[in-house]
Amino acid sequence: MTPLAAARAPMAVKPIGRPAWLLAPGVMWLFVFMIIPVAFTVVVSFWSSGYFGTKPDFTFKNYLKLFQSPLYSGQLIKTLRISLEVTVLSLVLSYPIAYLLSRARGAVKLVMLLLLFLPFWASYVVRAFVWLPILGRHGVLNSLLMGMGLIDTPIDGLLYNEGAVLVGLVYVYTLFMTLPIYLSIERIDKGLIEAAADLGARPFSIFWRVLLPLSWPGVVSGCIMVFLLTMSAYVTPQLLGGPKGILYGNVIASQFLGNNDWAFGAALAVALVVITVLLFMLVGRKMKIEQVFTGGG
Amino acid sequence: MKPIAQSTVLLTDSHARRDFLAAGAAASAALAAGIAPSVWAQAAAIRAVMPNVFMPEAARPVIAEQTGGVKVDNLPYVSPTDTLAKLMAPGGTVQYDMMITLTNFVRGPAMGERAGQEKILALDLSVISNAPKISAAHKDEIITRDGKTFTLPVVWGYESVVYDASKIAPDDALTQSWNLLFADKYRGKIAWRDDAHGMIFTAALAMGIANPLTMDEKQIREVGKWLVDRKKNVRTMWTKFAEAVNLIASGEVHCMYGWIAMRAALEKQGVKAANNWPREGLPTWTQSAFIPKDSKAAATTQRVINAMLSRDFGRRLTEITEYPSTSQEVADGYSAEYRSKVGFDIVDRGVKRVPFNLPMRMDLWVETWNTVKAA
Amino acid sequence: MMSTHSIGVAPAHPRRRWNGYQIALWVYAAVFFVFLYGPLLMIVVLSFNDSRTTGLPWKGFTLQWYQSLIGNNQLMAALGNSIYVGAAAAVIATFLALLLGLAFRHNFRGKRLVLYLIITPIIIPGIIGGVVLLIFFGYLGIRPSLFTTVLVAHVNWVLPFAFLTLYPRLHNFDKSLEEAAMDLGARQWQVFREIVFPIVRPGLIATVLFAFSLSFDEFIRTMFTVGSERTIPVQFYVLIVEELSPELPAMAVLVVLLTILSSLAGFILSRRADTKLSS
Repeated sequence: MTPLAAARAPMAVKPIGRPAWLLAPGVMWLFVFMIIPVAFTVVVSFWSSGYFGTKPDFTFKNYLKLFQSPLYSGQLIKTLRISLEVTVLSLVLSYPIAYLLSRARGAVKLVMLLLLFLPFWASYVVRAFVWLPILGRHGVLNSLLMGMGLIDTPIDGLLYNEGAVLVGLVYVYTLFMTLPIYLSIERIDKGLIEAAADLGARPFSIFWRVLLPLSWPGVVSGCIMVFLLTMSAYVTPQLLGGPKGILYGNVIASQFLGNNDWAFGAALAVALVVITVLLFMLVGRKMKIEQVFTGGG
Repeated sequence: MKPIAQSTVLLTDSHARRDFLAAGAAASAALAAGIAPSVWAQAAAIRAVMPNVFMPEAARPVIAEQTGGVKVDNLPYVSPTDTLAKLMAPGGTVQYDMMITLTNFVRGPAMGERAGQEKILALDLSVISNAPKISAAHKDEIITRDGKTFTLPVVWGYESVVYDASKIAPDDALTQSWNLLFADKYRGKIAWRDDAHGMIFTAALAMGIANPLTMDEKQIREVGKWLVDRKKNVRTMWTKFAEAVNLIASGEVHCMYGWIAMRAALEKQGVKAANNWPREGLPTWTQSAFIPKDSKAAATTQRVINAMLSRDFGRRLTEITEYPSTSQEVADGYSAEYRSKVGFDIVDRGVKRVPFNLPMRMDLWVETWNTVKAA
Repeated sequence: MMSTHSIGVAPAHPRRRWNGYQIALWVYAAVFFVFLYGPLLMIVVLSFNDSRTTGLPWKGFTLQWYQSLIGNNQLMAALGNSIYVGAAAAVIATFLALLLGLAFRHNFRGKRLVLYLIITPIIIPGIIGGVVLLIFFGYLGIRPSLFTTVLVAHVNWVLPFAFLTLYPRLHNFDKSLEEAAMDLGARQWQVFREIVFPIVRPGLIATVLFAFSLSFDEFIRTMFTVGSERTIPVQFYVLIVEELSPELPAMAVLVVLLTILSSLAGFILSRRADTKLSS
């Protein structure tokens, strides 16, 4: 049951505690440390920054710069596009694994789960970085291909471009896609699939008409998580992207690092938040919001 | 060997800092009560904000020896802008005893507009007896006002192209030019630095602009367009020290915009690294020491600065970090070959030095660079 | 099987037709796990590489990087920092999540709004989560440090997950015990301490562990709120980009091993709590 629906089911005696008191600490924390900083960032986005400092102001120039210059809006669109690509790729790659995982039994299942989780216990920074010695000019892939005689000179195009960033991001975030889908498939009554098979449906048909629709909450959950994570990606594009592979997250970061343009950085940040919130509202129409994170629980 | 370049992770320059108000008040109170900053150290100690690379461990004993046991406490250094921000913040002038940073950042804010508005102390040259030994080439980096000296350059350096000499011939005409970073010859084997100041400066030099600092808007945009066109030859751009060193060490690129410390690190790894001396101009900079005006350890700090300008410290600094000391005495003590390698003799060799200062239109430079990056 | 007879449509061997697809799936799984583990094996291999740069070419076998980890104060400090911040963030977030979860068992107005508030940190992309705190603390004049700015960033990130993990367990347990106790006149605090808490304790432990592991791997928000101290991900990042660090792969392997061990320990602990409960 979703938290909201379940909570509305009445209890014979009132549950312990008074709502106001119970809510206060959490709500206050989030208000002070989440809402206020975001609100303040919105305020700062209307200030103006020079190379040596930021001063309070009220100007739209940061937003104008963002929307008028193809530079920044272009980066935003490029990041949206790449996020979409990563999400789709991740979905296609992860779904079969999630399915297999749920069909596995006993020890095999446990081992598979463990194997799936294990890589994610290596810090994600390291998991992004490790693609450098793999895709590099003198990296594993090139050495292998040359050793097998398939190529004469190393392929440069494996690293420092969008493609490398794509591979890196898919790799780093797979668990966030696989897990919700797996949880969702677990909840499906296996009898339904067996019935469909018994009725003579082809495997693809079973997938398309039974499995996928029933695991939809998990799919959406995974897609949202991966999409959000990619929209905000910073380390992977920086390490692997080269001159062409930087994403919106890098642009935001550089306003606070090299450029000292906090006001503009704030505007860029606000733009991203607005987009993600809009995305959420869109998805929220199709699904109850709390289901998104519990994979249909 | 400890890594040469160190920095903290606070990757941003925080300006408008009011956080030092609290710390500054506390420090002032303690100081007012007569407690010296060094009460928690065994010997006298001064608080310094400076790039840690210029105080190598092996050189510290020289300071202690020459000042009667004074210890230098290195606070985290972030960047020149951050250092100046620390100085300018409320309470900044009393909290720190010595600061060392890029000279051209100090000129404006620390000196104030008129005499009497300086945030830093006039130095007593009778204490700093090593000051006259600063080489003539760097004498114009000494900031003075009304006959009083306020800063002294301690170390200097330059930006150049660091390259793998086993892959690129040093005596090739292209090698000794900034165009090494931009020409098609080493296409795909070049790395740039992700930095507006450095890249636009050197691109302007490569295009033949004699003084990049005075470029007008039209010229800056032209440089930007030129860079966008040249970007196709670039393998990747680096932002930090280790990224850059790894690029050449792993063979990913053969040449890159680089620092002296990178060349040194590569050599230690067995790479035949060298840097070029571009004929269009070598951007040079100095790092100067100065004392915030309300420091309570001013006298001690002056002795430390004197020690840093001494021959022994200068030698260790140069040999360990390969950043050259500003002292002529240090330079004179080396063989012609070493002087040539480190760069002491560039004036004699006729290498054109261009001061690596900040341009008037830095904001436009940043904007142009963003265009280059996004293209 | 019997149903196929009644319908009259009988593919010759329905189960065997699956097998082709099943085999394909398992082959695919094998390839997938190669993709997943290849890079990790690369890290392990690199950790023995006798080269001063992290990466290929292979220059010989050495144990020196592992040896250098013993007594590597930076690593120990970073590990300690990650553990302390992780523990603090996990406990605080779980505590807040517990209270929120208990509140959600009631009916009150604005519940939907509160729910949105709780998941805000997930919706706000990581880099923004860091940036807004950087701006906020910067102008308040609060200097970045582990137990101020970093802790806040971590609790923010972990709280929604703690809530979403804990809430189902809070909600799903049989309320009859609770009701009975209150009918008998027990006071609210007693009810909580004697009845509710023991029942949700396994859930609390699981939540704390989950929150801890989220915090341990958190990088992007930390990067903007950390001062001169480092957590493990920050340490790795700095080593990769700023400092030459041939011992990085060895460090990464060590941290993975530690994480595996502690996760196993946590798993066993939470299992024991579960079984104790059901006994």
